[in-house]
Amino acid sequence: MTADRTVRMFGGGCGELTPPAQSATALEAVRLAKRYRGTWALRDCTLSVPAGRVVAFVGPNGAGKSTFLRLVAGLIAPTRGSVRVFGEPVGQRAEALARVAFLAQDKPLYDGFTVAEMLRFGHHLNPGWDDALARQRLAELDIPLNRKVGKLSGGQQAQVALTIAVAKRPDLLVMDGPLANLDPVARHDIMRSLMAAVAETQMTVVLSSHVVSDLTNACDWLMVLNRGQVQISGEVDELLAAHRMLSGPAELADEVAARMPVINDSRSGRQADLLVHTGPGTSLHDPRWSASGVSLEELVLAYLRRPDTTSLPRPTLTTT
Amino acid sequence: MLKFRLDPSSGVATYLQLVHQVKHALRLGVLMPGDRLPTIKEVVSDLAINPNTVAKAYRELEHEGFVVGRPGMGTFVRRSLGGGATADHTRLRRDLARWVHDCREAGLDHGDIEALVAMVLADSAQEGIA
Amino acid sequence: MLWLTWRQHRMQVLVTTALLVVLGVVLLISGLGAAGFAAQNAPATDCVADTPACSAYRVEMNERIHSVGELLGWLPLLAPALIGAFWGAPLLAREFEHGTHQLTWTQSVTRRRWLAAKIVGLGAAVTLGGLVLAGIVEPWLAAFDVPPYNVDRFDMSWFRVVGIMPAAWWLSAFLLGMATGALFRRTLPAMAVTLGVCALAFFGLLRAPSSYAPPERAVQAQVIDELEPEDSLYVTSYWIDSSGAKFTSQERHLALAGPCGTDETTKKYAQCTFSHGYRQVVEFHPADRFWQFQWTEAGILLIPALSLGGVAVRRALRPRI
Repeated sequence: MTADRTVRMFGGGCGELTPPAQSATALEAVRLAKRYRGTWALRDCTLSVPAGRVVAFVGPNGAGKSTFLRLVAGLIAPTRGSVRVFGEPVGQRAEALARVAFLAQDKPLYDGFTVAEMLRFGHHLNPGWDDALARQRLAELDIPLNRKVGKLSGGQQAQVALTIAVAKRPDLLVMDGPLANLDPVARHDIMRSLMAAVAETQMTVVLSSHVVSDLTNACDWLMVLNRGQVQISGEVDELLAAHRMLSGPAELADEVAARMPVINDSRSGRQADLLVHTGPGTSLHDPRWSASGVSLEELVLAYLRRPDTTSLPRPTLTTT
Repeated sequence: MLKFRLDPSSGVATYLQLVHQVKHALRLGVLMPGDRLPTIKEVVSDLAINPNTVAKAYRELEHEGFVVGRPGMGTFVRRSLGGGATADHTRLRRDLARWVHDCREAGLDHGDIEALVAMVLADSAQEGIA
Repeated sequence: MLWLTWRQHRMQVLVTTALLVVLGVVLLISGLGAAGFAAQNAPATDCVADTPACSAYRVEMNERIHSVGELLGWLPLLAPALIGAFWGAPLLAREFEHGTHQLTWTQSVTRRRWLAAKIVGLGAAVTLGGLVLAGIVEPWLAAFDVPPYNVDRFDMSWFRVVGIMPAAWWLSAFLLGMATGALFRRTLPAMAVTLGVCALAFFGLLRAPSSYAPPERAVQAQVIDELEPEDSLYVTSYWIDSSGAKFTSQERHLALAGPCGTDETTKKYAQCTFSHGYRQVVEFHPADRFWQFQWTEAGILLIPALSLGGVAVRRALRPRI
């Protein structure tokens, strides 16, 4: 079947809307792989993310998202391959550690510390610590400095953890499921203050989630990880522009599939709905088909259902 | 200060929604030349959207000549939108209100009126092209 | 970094300090009492003859020293175990348990430096604590060391609360606790194992010092002879006959039942056994081996503790591959 064909997308750079100062590569992984006790959590991941992006890192549970992020944060070492942040390999060197901030899944903090003591912790352990920024953020959020961290609500704890990560003034902020276990209000608040921090500091952010809808408006880059491999990596606007939902007669579906890669094919009776990768410059001039745009969520779901299909912004030979 | 709202179900790209809302505010006179648009940080900390999206919308507006960005100070309205003098606006609005009243008298509901307006607008646009 | 170490472990530091202060006060009161009693009641004579005054003084001093000594006797077992369980075990285990290592290890300080600060800071504090304990016990013992009452630091009752022994035991237990914490990554199991190993080490080494070197041997040269020098560590004693064959007390008793009778307490019996060629032999370690033995035991404790700590730290800090 043609639908089995692997799709590779060319280009995918930053486009003219990204200011030139941000054209550096924030994150680059080359053939990155990690094995735990004989099981590959991550296999052969190669990708790069331009600076200044907010990256939605999605994938089903157990896809290897946490492993990837922990590798980027330097918490674990890869079995094979390499990760670079702004051109420098990650690892146990003070300069490398200072560039990346990491927010672990359960947002650990020292429960017995007061909020002020957590700030002091950040201050002592980070030469680039921005105390004014931290205090201002916490004041805006009405989080009392003299309260014990363990006595704060889940949302407030997440805010304190985020504040410590941001006040470190990293170039790259890595967040492993920052919205997990938070109520909808706290989720929105976290995203609001995260976006404000991004506007203020121009840092690059990678945040993982298995809920795409939480990230739709906040992220401008999409990375999809499935079964330990990168399935999609690209700019959200370009990805959305390169995919169409085609509806038309079922008997003509095979003909369309022969001309362009079909990511998702659902047919019911005489009607066929095809999510296709039109690619740049390709269009379908057939009045019997109606084309409509796809949402980020539809796109991600379609790809996740087809783990053999990829869309990656690098020139690669088309393989089977 | 202008406050943006997002309609997630509209299907319109977020940055375009922002552009439309600024233009709408310019038309209604909510925004006047010299007014400052909310900063990118203010918008994103309100809506939880990507700063690049706001920047893109502001660049679009700047490109179209509606606003001007002054580094370190903010983005300011340069000119208003909507033809005609304010006096004309008042008169036309009064006429339209009367017309809407007529429509209601004739038994048209909200949807009917909207459809009618859209149809007339489309026809007039066609005439414009022709 | 030191601030963080202090902030995270101040409870242990404060409690340990408070306990040392309490002990210091108890020993001060007891020591002052003993000194006062000795100043008033110590017989001027050297008490070779056991006068009632001498024996009354000895009994009273013995009573006084042991009323507090009972308490001190538990310290060599309890203190290292508690140091290991409360200072050492939670050091890494708590971080792993709460996931806070992910927070700390992603700040701008390498985990090696972070851990070095903790181990050096707390290790120094623990060592200091041990030295302070010895430092308050020794003057207290000195207060009792007024002739004719004699306090022997080499005696196993005191050997582990004086000199460098508390410091060595405490530091080893701290390292052991940290290592088990790093290996188990859970606080409670690490504490339990640390307590167990500390108890094993204590009972295993309880009588070990006498074998830290070949003992010296003294052979009876006259009928009344004090074989064992003062302040030495007694190992064993037995009898030999003129041919050099070894006898236990009972064997000698049987062999001499004919010629010397059976009443061992008389001077005549002693002269009789001496004239039959039986000589008493005492094996002991002289007092000048005190520091040698202190360092030997310190080595026995610290070398494995340091190696175990090194292995555990290396394992814990390595980004898991």
